[in-house]
Amino acid sequence: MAAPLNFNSPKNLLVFEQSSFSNEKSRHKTVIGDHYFNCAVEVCSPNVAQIPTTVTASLSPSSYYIVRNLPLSRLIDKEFIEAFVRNGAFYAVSLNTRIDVANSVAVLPTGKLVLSVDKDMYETLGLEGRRSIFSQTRERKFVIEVELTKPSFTPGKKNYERTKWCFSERLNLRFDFVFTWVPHDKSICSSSVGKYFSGMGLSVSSCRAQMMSNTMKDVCVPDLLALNILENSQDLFEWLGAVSCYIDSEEEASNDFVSMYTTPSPCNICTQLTHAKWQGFFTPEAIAMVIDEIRLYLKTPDHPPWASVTVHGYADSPVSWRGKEHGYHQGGENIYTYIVFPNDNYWLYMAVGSHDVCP
Amino acid sequence: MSTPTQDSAVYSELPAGVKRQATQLKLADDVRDGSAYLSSFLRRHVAPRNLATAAAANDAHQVVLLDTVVPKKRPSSLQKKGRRQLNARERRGVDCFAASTARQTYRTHVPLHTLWRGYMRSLLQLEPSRALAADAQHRLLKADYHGCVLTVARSRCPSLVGVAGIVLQETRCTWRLVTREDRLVTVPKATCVFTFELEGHVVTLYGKHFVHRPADRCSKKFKSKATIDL
Repeated sequence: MAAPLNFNSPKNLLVFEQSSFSNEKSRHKTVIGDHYFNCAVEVCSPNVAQIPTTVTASLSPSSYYIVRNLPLSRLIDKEFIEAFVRNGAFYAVSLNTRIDVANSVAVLPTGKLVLSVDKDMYETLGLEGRRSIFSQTRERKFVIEVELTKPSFTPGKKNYERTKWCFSERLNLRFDFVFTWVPHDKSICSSSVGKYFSGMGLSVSSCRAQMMSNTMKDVCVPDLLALNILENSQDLFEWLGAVSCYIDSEEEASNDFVSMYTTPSPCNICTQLTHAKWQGFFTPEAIAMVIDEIRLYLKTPDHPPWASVTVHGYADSPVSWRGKEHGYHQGGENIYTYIVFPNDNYWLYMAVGSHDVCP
Repeated sequence: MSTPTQDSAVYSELPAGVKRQATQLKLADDVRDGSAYLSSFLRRHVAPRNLATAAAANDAHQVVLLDTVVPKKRPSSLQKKGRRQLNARERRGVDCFAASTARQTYRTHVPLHTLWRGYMRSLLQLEPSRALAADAQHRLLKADYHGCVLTVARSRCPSLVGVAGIVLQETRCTWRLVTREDRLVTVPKATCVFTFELEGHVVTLYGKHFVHRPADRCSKKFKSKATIDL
């Protein structure tokens, strides 16, 4: 007889928390601030015709840049480190590099350069790293970390010269990067990094977040105030996902061949449910601003009963929360969702795939 | 052995003065007669057992040693084998082949490198603008690399990447190189890929193929290895 097939579902993790923004022990700031690379933001709210302009205004103008064929040796130039990495939060992640099959690079705002490289690259490059925690048995991947802002990482020092040699003479590594810079000094324009790179003859393009908005009429929406959240937290998260995918979850649709999904009860019919999605490259500061705008909006008269903000992290980023290692495996998801109530309470979901550590 | 001559001082007659006053000097009669003195001397100094064997031997005209002879120790079986060799651990302890780490400079080994270039050029019959001969691989496998400037192109240990130097010593699993900074570096063969340059050719050596004792390598029959993964 053949051996039984093992069809276990991949491990994933959903963390649920409830707290209040006014609680001084609330960790909402670190959850947002330590998740560096965000590629999409969704806002969903019932009983509103459209997303408030204050929220739209805080996300839409957030521009980011794409630089093509940037040599890694440029990122460790002392001039660059002094001007941008030290004087602001520089977020950069390599573009079109699948983390599970290719090498990928990221610069964290903490001033750390993280390379996730495969075995061949690791053996040829000549920089010390460590084995990826998600590839202990099968394909071998390695993680190399370079501390850019360390005082000892300076020309003339052994480690700096070695790193420089590895990036420029050993292998001339070039990557496409998507990046953005938030200077500490607000009087400096954040586009200076783009200027700096284009001054080197590199092709830099400026991009803006794309917005998609959709309003559904007369839909069934779960009654969050009547819902026992501790028992049904997964159902609610699933419903939010269904809304974001525009899945028809009406009663009559449950007999459909394609989808038998129904809205979790208790639910009541809302005249309209608005859902908006921005795609681009968002800094944690921008996300924090969105949450603040939502909180203000929920305090205005004729406010909706709640609003949700879902943030998607880059699936191919080498790190997720707090610079911890991240892998793709089956989906590479690293998502968090805030459901905000007018009384400053919030429900927080954090979802990660199998190749990720607990947020 | 020469017989004592009668005119030697021992056998000569006592002076006449002494003979005349023998009684005053209390000299016994037998002192003047040598044989009597001898027998009394033997009785006093030789064990009676030996004296008996000596008497018997004297009858059989044999030579006998009158001293008590201590028999010599017989040689043990280990010593009997002849020259004893050091075992492997002792040989390691002696460390007679270890290149001393001090005072190994790159400059002093440059002539060795020049010599090696000539050797390798003639071994491979190299010409600058021509490709390597078909059997160059086999020759490279069996060649001597003392004096070659090897560079680590790839390694399981990333900090070894880029190490370059003149080969000073080869062991079964390692090469010891003197770098340009006059450092003696031991590089494992099995987990590294090496390159060297000669007459415009850059030759890549997969260290895994060289894991043999250098003396064996030159006469070994090589089998192709399935993988060159580190």
